[in-house]
Amino acid sequence: MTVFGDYIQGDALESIARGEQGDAAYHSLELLVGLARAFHAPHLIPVSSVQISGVSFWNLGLEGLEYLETLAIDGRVRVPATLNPAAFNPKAPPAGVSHSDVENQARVVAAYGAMGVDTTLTCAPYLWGNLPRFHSHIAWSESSAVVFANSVIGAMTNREGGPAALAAALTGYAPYYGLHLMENRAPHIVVHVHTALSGALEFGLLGAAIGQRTREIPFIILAGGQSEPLTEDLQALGAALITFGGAPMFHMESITPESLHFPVPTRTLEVTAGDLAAVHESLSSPGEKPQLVLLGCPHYGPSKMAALSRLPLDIEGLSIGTAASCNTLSCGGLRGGCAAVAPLPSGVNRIATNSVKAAFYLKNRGVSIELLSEAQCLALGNRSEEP
Amino acid sequence: MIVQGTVIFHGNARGMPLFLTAPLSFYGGVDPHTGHIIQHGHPQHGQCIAGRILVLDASTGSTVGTWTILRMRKNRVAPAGIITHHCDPVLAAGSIIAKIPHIDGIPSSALGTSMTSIAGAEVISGASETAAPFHERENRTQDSGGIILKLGGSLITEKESLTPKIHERRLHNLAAALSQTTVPMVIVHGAGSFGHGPVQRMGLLNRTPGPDTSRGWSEVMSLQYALNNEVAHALRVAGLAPWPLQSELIAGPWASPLWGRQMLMETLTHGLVPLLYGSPELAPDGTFDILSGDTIVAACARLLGWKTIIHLTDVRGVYASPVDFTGDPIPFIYADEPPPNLTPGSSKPDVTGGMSGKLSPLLALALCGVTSHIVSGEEPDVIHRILSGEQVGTTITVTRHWRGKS
Repeated sequence: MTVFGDYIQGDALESIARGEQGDAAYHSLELLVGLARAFHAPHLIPVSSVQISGVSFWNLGLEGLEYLETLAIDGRVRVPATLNPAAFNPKAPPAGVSHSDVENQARVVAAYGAMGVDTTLTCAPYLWGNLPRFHSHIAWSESSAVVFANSVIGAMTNREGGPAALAAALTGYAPYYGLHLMENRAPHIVVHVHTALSGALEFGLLGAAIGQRTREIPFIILAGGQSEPLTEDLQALGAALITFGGAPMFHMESITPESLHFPVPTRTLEVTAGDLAAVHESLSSPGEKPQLVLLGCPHYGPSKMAALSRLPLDIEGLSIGTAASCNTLSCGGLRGGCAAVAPLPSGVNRIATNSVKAAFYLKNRGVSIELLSEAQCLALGNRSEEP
Repeated sequence: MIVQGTVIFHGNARGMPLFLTAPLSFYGGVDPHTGHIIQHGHPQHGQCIAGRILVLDASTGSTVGTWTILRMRKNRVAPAGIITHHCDPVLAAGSIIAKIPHIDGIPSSALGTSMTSIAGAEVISGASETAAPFHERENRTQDSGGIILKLGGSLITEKESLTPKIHERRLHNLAAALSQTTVPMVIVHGAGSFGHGPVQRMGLLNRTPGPDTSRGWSEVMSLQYALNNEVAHALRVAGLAPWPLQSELIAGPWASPLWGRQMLMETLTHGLVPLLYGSPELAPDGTFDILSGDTIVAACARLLGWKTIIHLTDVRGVYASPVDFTGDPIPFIYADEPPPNLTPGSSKPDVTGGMSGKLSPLLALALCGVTSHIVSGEEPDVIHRILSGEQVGTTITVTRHWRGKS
């Protein structure tokens, strides 16, 4: 018991610490207490929702798979937990992936499933049934989901690593530090946006422009005169913000729930149309017609998928990221896969997307990118416009 | 030099430090199969971190890095220990799931470039591994527990024999004396002519690894089992219930402090006497080394929090130079005073340091409240006399203000 010190409070934790809840829970507690010590958390806090990254077999390796399968012997989730996408969905593997990689990827998903993790395989769990409440403590790991949960929902989570999030699921607790504390959620810099934004592409460009310039939590004021952003706009903003090095949380005046909780910071950052254009230019290059159109990074939700399914889309050459559980559209192999890291069909070296986050990752992989609005992307994939 | 930090993962580790002068992203920055740094443009690009004490001020990068660290450990190319100034959650989770001793809150500028040890919350830079204090502080407040007995290899074997040979008389007399001891004990024995002679004869410590040296080390390893079997038999004949344990589980780079302690406690709970012995070890970096009985003794003291070590040797204590074994040994050596001019040890062949090699770890342990007694194993009733407060042989303790000082 002494190895856990004062972190063991209450019957549930005591039982785990005594080993009564099995090896997986005990090991998970070791991990959480270690992290709590490392970050000077005074105690562990119960969490009500977990979202786990660390699904791609290519990142886990056989060693990570063995770790998961060992935990799966007696590990069972104590709170609802959902799974991030892998590079690909083993139930719908893209061409060119080896049989053994598909099999090992299936084993990874199966091990999580055995522990009771919902294998929805999505980076937008809040659209697929894992929706935390305002100010509930949660343990999520997918970076774009962490920003969305903290900012748009007002739930409280640090950006947990995959194993730590899994440990939170297997114990029901997380270390109490960072964004679990109100005082760490205050904005430190005002961002004035001097241009009207429309659509996920432009909100993504804004996220990148802020993330490039500050790691502090921004208080965003949309000063360009415009309509209220949609859910997918806020998804795109958060995803790009953290991808470009920004904070795991933002506030937006009269939009996000905690925007009234804190005094407005005095320091300011001005963002103009020119700043957004500069980000666009750094990622997007003109050229030939893209061979592939990629939408849904971060993943779309069910209503968006239903809307897309009614369009006359040419599925060839169109990839739409969405949860594995989505059946409304057979979307070119990306169901439950990750648009940013998915294996690309052979010969594809130019991609159109409306996602600034996906553009960042794909460009790093050597792919030429054309950043277009969603409407422009869909036009490229519209069957009726094909010659 | 001892520096205190925050424990991320508890344990003991020892190795040469590798200083990283730029943040490292473990995901993509380290090859999980070889342990080499492959991060483009990193100042330590191309260096291998396997078996090293990794010293870095900050880490960076994707949360996938946690898995990379686990993969390195399972591929046996992980660092032996990690010391950070400001560690991130990715690295912290990695060292915990990979069970790599890790201390945070220590700037790299506070450390030297020589052999470095991690012991619980402390880093010992430029000192021997056995300088480590207890990793569990709470033990200090408990009573002194039992005794850790080291049976010197030169006592229980014919150390000068060219072939491995037991000193039957001494071993059986000693076993009989030990069976009269009423406090809990852990017994550690050295190798004597079962180890030092063969290792030196085959020149194993100076040869590059290869098929010949592997066979040589294999032979030395088997000899330790043979000697241990003889010692266990003698103790059993005397009425004790010795329980031989693999020393690598208690000390050295593979040891798990948590399990090691639990295993020792469990053995003692059942009235068994944990019996350990120095032996060859295969280090994580692929080299052979010797896990000496003295190292194991220190590890046992740390793990159990016991305060008394008794070294039973073939001499009556530690002698000042020049050596005159007919005179009296130095009665006290204090860890808080400059060391006396010592003899290099019993003049017999020894590959792990002899008397002077024993002394520096014992001085370091003394700073943590452990008193060591170096006495002759042939002196009658010596354990009982020490336990009842008598000064025998050489006593190594923290300060002159020890209760037994005249």
